[in-house]
This record gives sequence, structure tokens and C-alpha cells, in this order.
Amino acid sequence: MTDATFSHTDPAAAAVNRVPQATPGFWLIKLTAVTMGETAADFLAVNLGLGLGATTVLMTAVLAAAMVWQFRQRAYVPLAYWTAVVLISVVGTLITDNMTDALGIPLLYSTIGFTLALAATFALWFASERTLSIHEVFTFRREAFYWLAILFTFALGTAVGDLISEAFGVGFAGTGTLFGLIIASLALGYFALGLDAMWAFWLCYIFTRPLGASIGDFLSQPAEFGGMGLGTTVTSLVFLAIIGATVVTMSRRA
Amino acid sequence: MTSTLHNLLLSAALIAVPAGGFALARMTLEPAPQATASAPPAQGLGDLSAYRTIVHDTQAIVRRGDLSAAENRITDLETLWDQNAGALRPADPGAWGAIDSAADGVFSALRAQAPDRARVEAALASLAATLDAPAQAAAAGPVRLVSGVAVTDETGHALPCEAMIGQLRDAIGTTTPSPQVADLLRRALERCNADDDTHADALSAQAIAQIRG
Repeated sequence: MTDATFSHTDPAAAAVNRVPQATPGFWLIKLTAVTMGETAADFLAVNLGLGLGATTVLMTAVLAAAMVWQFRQRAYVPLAYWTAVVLISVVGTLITDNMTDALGIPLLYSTIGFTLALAATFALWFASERTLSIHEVFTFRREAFYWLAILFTFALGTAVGDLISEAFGVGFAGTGTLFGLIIASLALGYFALGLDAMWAFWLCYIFTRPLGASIGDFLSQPAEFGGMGLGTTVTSLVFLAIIGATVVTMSRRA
Repeated sequence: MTSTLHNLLLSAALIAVPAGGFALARMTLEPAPQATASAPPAQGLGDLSAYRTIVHDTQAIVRRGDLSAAENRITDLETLWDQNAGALRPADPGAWGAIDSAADGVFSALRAQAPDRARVEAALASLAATLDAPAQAAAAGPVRLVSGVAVTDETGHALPCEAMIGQLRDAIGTTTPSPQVADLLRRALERCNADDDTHADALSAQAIAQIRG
């Protein structure tokens, strides 16, 4: 934390990475955080009856505040970073939901559209910085590219997940299995077949979105729909506890 | 650039192999839809007598007044129906959808906090009729109705569940909903949160129909 304090004056501290490394803890918290985010969005839009439009406006405003907070940090601060991830996950999901439900754009088109948007983000990021490394996010511009890419991975992950569950009609257990297999396969590719670390990272980032949603549904849905019947409240509390414990551990280490 | 191409191809293969394996496993584990489609009697969904038997059993149990035993028996239908959904649904999506929403009506009637016998009997009768003539029930048009309330748009797509719940909330207005309506709303919210528009819409439609009487 002391690094952050000195970063304004000390040129050496300018090279402090502002985003976390991809450790097992990172993936655990990413998986749970996105599911929490989606449950929160559902709760606002559906249970409280705010509707999709009002929820999108509200959550975008909250996200903007969280992004200001995150960008003001000059180093990785777990609480600010993960707050931003949860909110960007909510807004990314809402973008896809709006496109599907309010604008009637087929999921296949949104999947293709977000893939192109993500590819364009990476192309611009590389053209401007000559690197896509998540280990060298030192500047405002790199961090802006990083968060834009994350926003599109969430929107894309939502569209892919919904597309697959609609096309196969396999429910959340089948969808979860499929995305679990894909992530395992990408991990094998990274550890054994020489898949580039950046490719592996961003692809897993996309696919953990639908995997997280399936796990959340599996825990919260009633047994008659093939879930464990914990309900959304208990599930959210379980996830919040996991996130809390992981963030505390990370904060101590950071 | 060669490294980009290499990574692109490797990624595509790493995603395609498990996805292909998954699709293949599903095709092998579940009977092919064609086999069902050609089975006698040659309705799109094939032989539905197993479901009819369960519905008749359940009707008999309800007549005895044991609604919790009836719930047990109808769960057999639900299990069987869900097991075969992968094969039946593609064979005739319209007829499948008509039976599915009629069956949902029975499940929600029997699983209400305090099940109402008259409502259970009506729902069972509607399911039995739908099983006898699923094609006619589906042929009512591309707009699907549940309890007389539209749950799809003209193209047959399920309406957004948020919109249906909005309709239901408007119908409830400032009145206090009956326990059944409140239960249906709760279950519709739960399905809607799971992005299950079809089931959520069916539940909202039943609730709206109850309010309208």
C-alpha cells in the first residue's frame, strides 16, 4: 500500500501494476463476483420492479463512480478493483439483456458484434501500447483499454452463455458442464500446449462469465428445476463470504 | 503475425474439441428426434400414453382428496417429461410448448402454499386435453396463450419475463393479492431471475388469469 502513497512523486513507482495477477484466488473471486453482480441486477430489475431501463441507468451511474475510484488508485487495491469488476459485470450483463429484450437483437448477432468489439479493443490496445500484458498496466491509457476489454468480455460471455443454453436447451447444469470443459481445455492448452498466456487469460475471462451464472443458478434454483434449492439470498451470502474472505487475504498480501 | 495465427487456431481447437464432444455426447445419450417422430401414432411427438397414464393416476388421487400424493405422482411426469425434452422438443416445438405450459399449470397448482382442489382439477383436465391433441393446442397460432393470456410475441418468442411481471403487477395494482397470486408472482420472479422466460411467463399468465377471474 505504501507504493501507492509515493507513486505521484517517485518515478520508479510509476511502474506499479494497477491490476491483479491471475492467481487461483483471482479466478475464484472473479467467478463468484460476477454471479453476485448478476443476482444483484436481477434483484433490482425484477424483484424491486425497477425495470431493465431504470436499472441500467442506475447501475451505469454507480459503475461510473466505482471507475473513478478505481482509476484514482495508482496501484492494485483489492477492494476498489473488485468493486469495479462486480459493477462492470452487472452493466455488461445489462447491455446484453437490453439488446435482447428491449431491442430484439438476436443473441447470435450480439455474440458476433461483441466478438468484433473485443477484437477491435485488443487491436487498438496493441497498436497504441505494443503490448496486451496484464502485468504491465502502468498508465491511465492501458488501464482504460483493460477495463474496456473487460466490459466487452462480460457482454460477450452473457450472450454466448444465453445463446448456448437456448440452442442446446440443456439448462444450467448442462451449460455449466460445457463451459467448465472449455475452461479446462483452455487451461490444458496454456499449461501443456503452449497457448499464449494473454489468449488463455482473456478467453477464460469470457467463459467464466457463463460458468459463474450456471453455478449460481445451480445453487439457488429449487430442486424441481434441478438446483440445490438454497435460494438467491443464501447463495448471495455464501458468495459474499467467499469474496470477502478472498479480498481480505489478498489485501493482507498486497 | 504467425504467433497470432497459431494462437487463434489453437484457441479455436481448444474450444471446439470440448464443445464438439459435448454435442456428440448429448446426441448419443438421448434418442434421436427422428426415431420419436416416426413412432406410431404419427403425431409429431409420438406416443404420449405414458404421460396420459400419469395424468389419469393423478386425477384419481385428487378425487380421493390426497393432494400431496397427487403432487408426488405428477412429479413422475415432470421427471419423464424433462428427461425426454431434448428429443421431443425438436420433433414439434409448438406441440411440445403447449404441453409444457399445460403441465406447468398443474405443477404450480399442486405446489401452491395451500393447493386449491378446484384449480388442480381444472389444470389436470387442461393437461389431459392438451396431451390428447397437442397439435390443435399449438395450432391456435404462433402467439402462445397460457390461461388465455399471451406469453409470446407474433414470432412465437417468449415475451421478456420482466414485461409479463410488469403486466401482473399492473393487474394487482393496489389490491392485496390472494395467496395463490402472491405465490405465482414469487415463483415467476424466481424463474425470471434464472433467465427462464418461458416458465416465468407461464406463471405470470396464470396469476393474471386468476386476478381477472
